[in-house]
Amino acid sequence: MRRQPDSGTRSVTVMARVADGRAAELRKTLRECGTPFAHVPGVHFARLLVVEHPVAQARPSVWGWKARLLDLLVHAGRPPRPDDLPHPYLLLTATVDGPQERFFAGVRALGPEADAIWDHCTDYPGSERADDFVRFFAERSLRADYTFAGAPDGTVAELRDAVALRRRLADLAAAGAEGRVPPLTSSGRPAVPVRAAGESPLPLGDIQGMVLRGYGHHRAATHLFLRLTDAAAARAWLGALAPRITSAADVQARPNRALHLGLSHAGLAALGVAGDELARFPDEFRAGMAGREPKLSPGRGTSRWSAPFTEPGGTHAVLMVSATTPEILGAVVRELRVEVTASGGAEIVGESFGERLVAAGGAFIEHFGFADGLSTPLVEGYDRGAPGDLLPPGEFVLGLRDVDGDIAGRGLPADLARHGSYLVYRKLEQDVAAFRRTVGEVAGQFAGGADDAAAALVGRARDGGTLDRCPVASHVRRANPRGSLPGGQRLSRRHMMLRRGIPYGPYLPEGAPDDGRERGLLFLAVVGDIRRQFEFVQTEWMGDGDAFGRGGEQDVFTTAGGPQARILVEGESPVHVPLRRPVVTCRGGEYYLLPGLAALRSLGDQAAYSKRRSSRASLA
Amino acid sequence: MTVTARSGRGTALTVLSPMPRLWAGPLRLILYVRKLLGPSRELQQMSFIHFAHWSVITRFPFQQRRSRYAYLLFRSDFNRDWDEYIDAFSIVIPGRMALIWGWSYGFPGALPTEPFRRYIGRNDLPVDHYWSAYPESSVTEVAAALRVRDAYRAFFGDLDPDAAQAHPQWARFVHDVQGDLSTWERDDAPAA
Repeated sequence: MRRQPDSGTRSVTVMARVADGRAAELRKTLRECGTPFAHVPGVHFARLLVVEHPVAQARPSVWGWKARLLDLLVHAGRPPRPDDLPHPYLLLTATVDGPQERFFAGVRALGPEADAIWDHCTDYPGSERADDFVRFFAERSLRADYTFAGAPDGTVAELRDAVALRRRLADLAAAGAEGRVPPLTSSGRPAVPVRAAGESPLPLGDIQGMVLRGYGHHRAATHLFLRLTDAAAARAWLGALAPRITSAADVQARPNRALHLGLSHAGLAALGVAGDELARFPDEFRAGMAGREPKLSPGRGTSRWSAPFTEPGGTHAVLMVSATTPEILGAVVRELRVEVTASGGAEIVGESFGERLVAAGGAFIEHFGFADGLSTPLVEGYDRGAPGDLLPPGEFVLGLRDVDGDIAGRGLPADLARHGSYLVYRKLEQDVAAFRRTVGEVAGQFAGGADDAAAALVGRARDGGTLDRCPVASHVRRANPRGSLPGGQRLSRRHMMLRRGIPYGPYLPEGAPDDGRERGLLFLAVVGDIRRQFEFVQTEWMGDGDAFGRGGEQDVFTTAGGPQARILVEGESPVHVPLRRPVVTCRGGEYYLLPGLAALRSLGDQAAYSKRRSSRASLA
Repeated sequence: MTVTARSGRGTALTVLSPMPRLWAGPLRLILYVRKLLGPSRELQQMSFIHFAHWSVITRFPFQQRRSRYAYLLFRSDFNRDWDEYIDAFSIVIPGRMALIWGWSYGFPGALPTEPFRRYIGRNDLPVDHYWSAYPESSVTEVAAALRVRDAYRAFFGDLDPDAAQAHPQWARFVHDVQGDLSTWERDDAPAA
C-alpha cells in the first residue's frame, strides 16, 4: 500500500455488512446516538446510513435528444434490469484530517459508543483490541476515485479557531462604532422598458395585462379578496367577468382602467377543479403562502398576519382593479361589488386600497422615500433590449419556454394553466419611523448623512440613481445581483421577478412624528416558478447573507431585526448599522394563479368545463 | 423534495446509482483525469461545496457473487438550498455532469434542470446520522475566516485581539478586511 502523506483532508468510506434482521434496530440506534464524532479528533463531516437496497431506476419520462443519444450509446437503449445489494450495509462516510488509520483509532477510542453502532455488523471484533478494530474498518474501506474540496485547506482545529477569531474581531470592529463612509455618488436611473418593434410573437390576447406591464399611468388600485361559496354560481359569475379582464393586447391602448383576477389553489378547488388536476400544481402553490411562511420568515411565520389572511387558504380569489383616477376606480369597484354579491357564489372577505405616492418631481416613490418601480426584467418577444438582457417569456408565462430551455409549468393541466402566470401577493407593512431612526442613528458615520445611510442600505439614491459603488449586500443588489455572484448572470437570471406592487396607507412626511397609522407596500410579483423565483430570492438572497459573503446577515427589508441584527456597510472603515427592530412586517399574503383568458373563459363556462374534464392534457 | 440530513448550514447528499459494469473502467479513468486536472475552478468559485467524493464500486466489501451492475457512489457536504445546489451543478457544468452520471441508468441529462433535480432527489439516500464540526459556518464563511486570520497574523502576529484594538495598525487592518467582518449571525447558529 502506498504511504499517504500525514497532512491534508481525506475521504473515508466504510461499508460494513449489517447482521441479518438488524437493519431497523441499527437505524434506530443511529438516530439516537447523540454526537459521537464530536469526540473523534479531526472529523470535518461524517454521516452514517443503513443502505438496504439501491434505488430502483427507471428510464426518464422527460429527456432531451442528447440524453436519449447518450442512453443509446451507453445502454444500447435498454432499460435497467433489477439488481440488489448482497445484503444491507452500514455506510460510514467522513472527511477527516490525516490518514484514515488515525481516524479509525479515534473511532475506537469511543469504546462502548462505537460498539453500540458496529455491534450490529457481522464480524465486528469490538473496540477492545486496536489491531482488530482498525483492520475491520480498513478491510471494508472504499477508495474515493475523485474528491473535491471547496474550502481552503485546514484542519478542523484551524478552521474552528479561525471562525472564532473572525467573529471576535468582527464584534470588536462593530462595537468600536468608528466607521466612516465617504460620500456616495450616483448616476443615471435605470431605463424604463420599451416595447420591441414589430408584432410580438407572444399570445398577448391570452395573457393577463398586468403580467407584461405595470400600469404606470394608473394612480390607484383596489384589491378585493373573495371567498367562493358555491362552485356553479361562482363559475357563472366568472364566465360573465372573463371577457372584461384586461389582456396584454388591451394594454397597448393605455386603458384608463384595468381588471385582473387571480385564483388561489383553494380557489381552484372551490370552483370544482378535479382533485387530480389540483394535485399537479407544485408544492408551494398547493401549500399557499401561509403554509410556506415558516420558511419565508423563519421564527416569525404568520404570527403578525391580519385579515383576510388569518385563515390559511381563506382567500380564494383576488380581483385587482386599477385606474387613472380614484373616481374611475371607485365606479368600477362599486359595480364589481354589486355583481359579486348578486352572483350568489362569492363573498368579499377583504379589501386593500393602494395609491401611488408621488414625489415633488413627479416620480413614484415608496414609503421610505425611494423612487419606486425601477429596474424590472425585460421579456423576450415583448421588450426592447440586448439579447443577454432579455429573459425568455416562460419565466413569467406558463406554457412558454423558460430560462432553462424547459416549458414553464410542464405537467400542469394545460387548459387551466396555459398562458397563465403565478402572482405572489404580499402585504408588507413599513415602519417608516423605525427606518428613519435606524438611518438617523448612523448618519454621523456617513459623509452624506442620513440620506447616504439610507441609500447605502437600499443600494440606490433617493431619486432612483444607480450608486457608482453599490454596496454588495444592499437591497437592490440582493434583489438583482446581476453578474456579481459566482456563476454570474447565467445563475442569477433564473431568479428574476416582474414587480407590480403599489404603496398603501398615507405618506409620513419627512420630519413628522410617528402617527401610528399602518402603511406599506402591496407587494405583487409575477413569476413562472414561485419556488425558483420568489421563494429563492426571499430565503437565499434576502433572508441570508451567505451568497454575498455576509454570513447570516439579512436584507434591511426582510421581516427580520433585533439586538443581534447589524448590516455591514463598507467604507474608509466599516459601519455596522444596527437594525434594532424589523422595519418591515408581513401582514399576510397568498399565491394566486393569474389564468390565461381562454382558461378563465373555460372555467366560467359550465359546458366547456365538463367537456374539458374528459381531456387531461398537460402542458408540454 | 425532502432534504435528507442537515447540520446547521451543512447538508448531506448521498447518491448510489447503477451503471453497466462495462463502463466502470472508463468512468474511473475520467475521475482519475479529473483528479490530475485539480479542483474545478468553477465549482470552487461557487463556494458552497465543503467536500464531494465519487467512488466507482465494482464489488462491495466481502461480496461473494458480484452484482449485475457497477455502482457510482457520490456523497457531498454542501451549503444552501438543496434545489439550488443541484441546479447550479446542471447549469455551470452540464458537460461534466453528463460525463460522470451519463453512464448511470435513469440519467435524464443535466439540462433542463427539473428532470435532473427530480432524478437526484429520487436517488438521494436517507441519512440516519449526520455530523459537522462547524455546522454554523458555510464554505464562504470558512474562507472568510481564514482570510481574516491570515491578515491578522500578518498585522499583529500572536497579539491578543483585545490588545490589538489599541495597536496603531488596527484601523488599517479593519479597513483591509472589512468585507469579511459581518456580525449578524443566523438565528439557528449556536450561541457563542
